[in-house]
Amino acid sequence: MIAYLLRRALWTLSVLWVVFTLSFLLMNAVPGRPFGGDRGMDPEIEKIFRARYHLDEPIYVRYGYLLTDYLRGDFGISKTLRDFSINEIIAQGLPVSATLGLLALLFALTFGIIAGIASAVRRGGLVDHSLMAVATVGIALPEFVVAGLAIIMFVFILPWFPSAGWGSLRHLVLPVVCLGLPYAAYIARLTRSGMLDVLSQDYIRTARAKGLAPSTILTRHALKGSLLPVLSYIGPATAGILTGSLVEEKIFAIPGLGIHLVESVFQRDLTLAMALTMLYTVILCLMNFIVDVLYKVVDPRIKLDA
Amino acid sequence: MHKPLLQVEDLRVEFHTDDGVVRAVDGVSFNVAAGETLGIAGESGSGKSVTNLAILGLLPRPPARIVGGRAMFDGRDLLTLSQPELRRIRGRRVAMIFQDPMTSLNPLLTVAEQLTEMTRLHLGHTPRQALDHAVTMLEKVGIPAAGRRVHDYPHQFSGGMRQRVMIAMALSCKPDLLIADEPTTALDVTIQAQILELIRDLQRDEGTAVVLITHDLGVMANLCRRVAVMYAGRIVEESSVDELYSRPHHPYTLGLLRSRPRLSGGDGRLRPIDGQPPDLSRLPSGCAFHPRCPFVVDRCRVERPALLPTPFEGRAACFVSKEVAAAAEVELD
Ligand SMILES: Nc1ncnc2c1ncn2[C@@H]1O[C@H](COP(=O)(O)OP(=O)(O)O)[C@@H](O)[C@H]1O
Ligand SMILES: [Mg+2]
Repeated sequence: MIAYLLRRALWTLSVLWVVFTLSFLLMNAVPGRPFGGDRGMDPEIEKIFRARYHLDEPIYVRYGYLLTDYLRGDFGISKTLRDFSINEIIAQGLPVSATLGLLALLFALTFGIIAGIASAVRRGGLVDHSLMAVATVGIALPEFVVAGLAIIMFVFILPWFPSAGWGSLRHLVLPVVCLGLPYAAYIARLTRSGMLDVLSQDYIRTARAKGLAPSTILTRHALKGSLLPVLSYIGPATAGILTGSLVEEKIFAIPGLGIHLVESVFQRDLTLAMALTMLYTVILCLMNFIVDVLYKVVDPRIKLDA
Repeated sequence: MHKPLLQVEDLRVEFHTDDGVVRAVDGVSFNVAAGETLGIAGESGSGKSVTNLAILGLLPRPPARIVGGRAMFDGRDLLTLSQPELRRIRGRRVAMIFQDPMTSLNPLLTVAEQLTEMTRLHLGHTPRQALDHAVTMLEKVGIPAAGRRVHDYPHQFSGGMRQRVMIAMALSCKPDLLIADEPTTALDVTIQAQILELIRDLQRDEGTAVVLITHDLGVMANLCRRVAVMYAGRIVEESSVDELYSRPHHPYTLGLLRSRPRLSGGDGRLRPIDGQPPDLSRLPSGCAFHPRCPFVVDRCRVERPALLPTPFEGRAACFVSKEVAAAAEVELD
């Protein structure tokens, strides 16, 4: 297990290194002056940037400097947000975005799994048909449509929630639900088909032949196996929620990192864009790492040295 | 004679599928006495599994529908029991082992978890007692280092060892009846003999009655005193093993005996039965076996023969059973 964790950690680090290198090269390949904007840069700022990012040195030296900075956890400075270091921007925005993202993931898992199990157990019934209809719609609709409908419904028609902002529980509800909904829907379908697949297995018949109660069979013999596909989906779901949060943060005016990432791209704030890209990559890699390890804990058939 | 432990009468099971109604079991009756081993033989698709799954209420409903019959066990009809009542019988009084030990054990639970949940439920064992009992059972079925292996997962065992685990699990509550549905079909030939021997030894030691289902008549000879042969959802012949092997009264039984590899005698060739087993949703008129039967007479095409006693304490469903028996005696001698 230790050896496996080490190997997996090494792999994750190499992925991060590749992403870092590619981002660095892309950043340098952007047309125009290095770190320059459309209208050029304030000479004052440009001087600071020249010094901070060693812009007079050849590219491989700059690469070395930047890599060292990142390894030390110093993400440098931004040309658009001059009052803060990028580290300060992240320190402000990350808790907000992480709260939004994690709650959305939690919402998606909880509702998706419960709905999926209910559908599978009542297969072919009214519960199944209505839940799966909702799920199909939930998967098909783009985030901004869901968010738009939700705002019309629960802000204007039924004034239950504020339309935008951050700070209270009531602010959280709509963005979390809108962000998590497509993933809840997909997880519901995954859970349902996983559960139906497991329930048709020979070993479920064995469990019934042993005289176990249906609830025991469901929880002890079927649940684990039926959630394996959901577990593998957590990686992609995290990636989706990360990008989805860019849209939701914009719609609901949430002071997270998403807005900074979008703005940094529009403003050609390359140092900020690169820092946030790396941050999102780290989060995604971390999630995949956790999922991989969990998968091996749940399914003993998977060899650790594979 | 003892009152039978299990008495199945006129069991009828249908499957309602998109292609129509499949009569998988069509009026099957048999008895099993306490401590006895009954063999049920027949080609695959003849309704052996469905018969026994129906008795324990294990068929998927829908599509399965039990349309008639009784299965008396200990004075009660299993077919009319409620699910909670049935659960107290399953595993506790009647246990079952299945064909494929690779898929019949839960791959995500250890052997210990799968064995102990049963005795904790039915015998009220504490976790400690249940684990000790599980180890004892694994030792009994010949699993080496049982104390350690009990914590392994099914995939860490070979096919034969897994079937031993299944047997240990099935017998762990000392059931009165063990239904073994083709317990060796999925195993290597050398392992098959070991598993059958194990079932026989345990059956003798524990006094458990056994219903042994197989499509291989050869397997039966060593284990059973009585054998029922099924064809197209019906029992076509039932008699003692000795009788069945030397003087079958149904042409289908004779066909099965001919198609069995033998070490000596005959010309050494395998002779499979001509033709295919019938489609159960479109059964032939009269005797379901008549299109494949070398002894067929006109009556077979229009009238279905009843299962009637033979002169030798067996039962056979054939209009020309005397001729079959005479021909068989000459051929199988
Ligand atoms: N789930 C099912 N749905 C439809 N038909 C079935 C199902 N299970 C069994 N059958 C029918 O019942 C017949 C008998 O099956 P089975 O009892 O499994 O045969 P075997 O003698 O090989 O054990 C099969 O030929 C098949 O047509
Ligand atoms: Mg079968």
